Amino acid sequence: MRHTTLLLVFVITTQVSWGQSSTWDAADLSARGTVRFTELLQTLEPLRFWTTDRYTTRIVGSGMGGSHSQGPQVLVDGLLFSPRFMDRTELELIPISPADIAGLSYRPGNTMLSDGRLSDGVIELKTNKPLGLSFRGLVGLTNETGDPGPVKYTNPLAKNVDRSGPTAAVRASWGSRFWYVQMGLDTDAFHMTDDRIEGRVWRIYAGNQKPVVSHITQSVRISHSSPSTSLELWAGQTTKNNFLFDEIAGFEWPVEEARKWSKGRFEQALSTHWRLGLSGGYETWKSSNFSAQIKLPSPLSITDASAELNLTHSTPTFSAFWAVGGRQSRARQAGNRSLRSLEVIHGRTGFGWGLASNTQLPVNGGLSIPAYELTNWKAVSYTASLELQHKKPNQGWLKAGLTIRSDIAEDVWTTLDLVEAGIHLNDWALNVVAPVFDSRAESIEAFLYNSSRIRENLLFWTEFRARRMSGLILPERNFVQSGSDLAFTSATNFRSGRAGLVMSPGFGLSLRTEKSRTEISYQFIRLVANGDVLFWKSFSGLSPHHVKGTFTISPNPRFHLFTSISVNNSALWPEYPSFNRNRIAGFVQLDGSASKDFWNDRLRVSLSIINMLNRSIVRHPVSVDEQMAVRLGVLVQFSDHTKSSP
Amino acid sequence: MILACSWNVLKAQDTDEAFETIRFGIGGLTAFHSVHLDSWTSGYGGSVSASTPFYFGEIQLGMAAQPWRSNDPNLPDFISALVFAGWFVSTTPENAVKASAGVRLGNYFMAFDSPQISGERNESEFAVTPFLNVRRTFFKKIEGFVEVSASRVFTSSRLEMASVSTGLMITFDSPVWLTSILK
Repeated sequence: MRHTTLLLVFVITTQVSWGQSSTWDAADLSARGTVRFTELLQTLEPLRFWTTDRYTTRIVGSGMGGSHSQGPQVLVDGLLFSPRFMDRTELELIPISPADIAGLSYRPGNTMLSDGRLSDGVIELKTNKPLGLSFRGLVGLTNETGDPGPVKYTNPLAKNVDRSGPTAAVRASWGSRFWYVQMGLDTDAFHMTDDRIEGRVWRIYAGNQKPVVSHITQSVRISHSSPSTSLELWAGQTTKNNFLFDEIAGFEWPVEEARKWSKGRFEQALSTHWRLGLSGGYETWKSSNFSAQIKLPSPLSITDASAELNLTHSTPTFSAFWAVGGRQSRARQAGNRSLRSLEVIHGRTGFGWGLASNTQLPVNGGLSIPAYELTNWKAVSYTASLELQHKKPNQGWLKAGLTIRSDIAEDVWTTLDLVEAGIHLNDWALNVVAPVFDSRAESIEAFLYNSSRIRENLLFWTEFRARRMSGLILPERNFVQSGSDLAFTSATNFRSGRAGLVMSPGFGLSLRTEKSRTEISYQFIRLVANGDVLFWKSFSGLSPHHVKGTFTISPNPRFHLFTSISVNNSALWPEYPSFNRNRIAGFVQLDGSASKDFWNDRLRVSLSIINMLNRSIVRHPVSVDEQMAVRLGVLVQFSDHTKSSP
Repeated sequence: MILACSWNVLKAQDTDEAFETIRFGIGGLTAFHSVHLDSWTSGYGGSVSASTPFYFGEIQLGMAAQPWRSNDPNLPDFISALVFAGWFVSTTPENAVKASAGVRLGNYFMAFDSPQISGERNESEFAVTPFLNVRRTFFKKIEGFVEVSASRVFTSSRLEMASVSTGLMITFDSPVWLTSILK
């Protein structure tokens, strides 16, 4: 175990996009009929995900980081939203609804963020900021089919199946040319009644309870924007009554998570070419347990604060970026003295050259070092990337890039961090052993992207990515399952120095017309473990062959149809060897939505049928059995002006 | 034939006609065949609906309710109510007899006479109902109709029922305020 008191990070990066960036506008996103941010992300072509309960979604990015990647982090109007815990990013806690989004882009690949942490991809959002007094409310209900009906009188064991909602996002705001103020309330709930969870519920409660996962967030934000200055402040608190599944335990942790958070960003133009910026965030996270028959992890609290000062220079042919910042993180647990404390200072910089009118060369680089080991260069973490972007005469792009990453960074949010720090998991997760020694995690990732416009509105693209990783610390789990109820026990040892390669070729096309947008893509993921069984076990889980297609059409400006199809072949979860649970059957998921605007766009009603083929979908060896579901979304919005503030 | 005529309908009903009229319908119905409802017998029920031209075809909202009498003394009677939204296309308006075909999506509510073990009396589930409708004008804006529909309720054991209904429809011009909301 490492006793870290101070960590210094120095990182270099660039503001220029790394790799192929995918973008969607508000019209395309709103036609999808989703009522949750995570549901919206599931419909986006490049993103891979899995879930154990249908609603708590593990978005793992483009799949290059394997099935247990922490996935992309989210920037909302430049503010970093990163509600992390136990290896996952709880994207459902970000106070964003599909109705808030004016534009979205996803960029794969390792990126250093303003808090000095590395992210496996970035999702960037621009939000709607209506002028004048405005009110906006989105409410959604989802009902999964398969309730017993009259059969419940002839079969006492028949029971209702999962349902969710209401999910609601309410905004009251005022916007002017320069200022925008918003108060927000976000809430969500879903019931967990599936047969495949019931066995684990019995194990936790010794009773047939029906857990309900819910969360509520209140927030307030203030924005100021002028030609020379921009300011974003956003603060709120989130409470989540969770039923958190984690593989380190093998079943759920009934826990209340309480977060208080605040974020800010300020930018000032110093001259035509120079801008000075300041950004930062502060978050506290606390857990408290619901009563259970087993002894759950003792209450835990985490605080995290970060700040960064940056300077940007840009001309038509050259751009540069420098940033220096730091972060402080502390994790405490009742009855567990001084779990972990970290202090971090970081810096970032990057350069982008316009080699020619149609060719750019952005270069990134960075390094980090624990502050208490400021002079120990063996403790340095670093990342660097180089990319060549060439715009072809047919308006397509040829891009090639290389990124290296080498880090030994410590944190407080991952399971490994907490296990290394000596967290008391109690009866919930017995037999968890920290790694004997740390190893430096290294990766090198290369990509080649080529797109061509076959016609003015038809784009065809191909992409190849490969990421070689070594020095990984991975959990070695030993699941002992019961065939009847999917309850199982897990013993976990973390092993150092694991290595492997992920390769992913893909291709796709995009067709846009005045009223429609069609996207079709194929991705293949190949793991090369070279005999490292633990790497193979930990990275498996995503379907190697993945086809995604979406079609959006608006036959009338106020009527929208959306359909998506996802084809996945069978996937292997080697950690679950018992009762043939380790192979997830391939599936085809077909969804459809119809949305109609009423009342001069003040009202929108969306009806979606999810999994229209009504075939059972299982995304994880312990997950619920997803059936056809029906979703109703109602958006009400009143605004003095339809234009958005800058 | 009805579906073959739908293209004419699509061409005939342009955006300007959308929501310009409302046709109210009321009728009686009964199920003449059912699956997974062997222990119950359908009684006579009723339906109400409101239809209006859409950008293509017509859309409708409505409800169809009917009682189900138990054949087994140990099982409760129940009343079902299908609350639905539908879309359909019709043969060209010039025909004296018009035929329509479409589909309804809705929620099938069931209210039972006696509580189940958990104490709940009610149940509901998603339902899909394709239908065929034939109607004829009797007097100006009043029409009579006969309709055959087949419903599938997505309970764990799928409930299926074929029903026949008959009744009257009357058409009004939509009030301006309603048209402006719907458009």
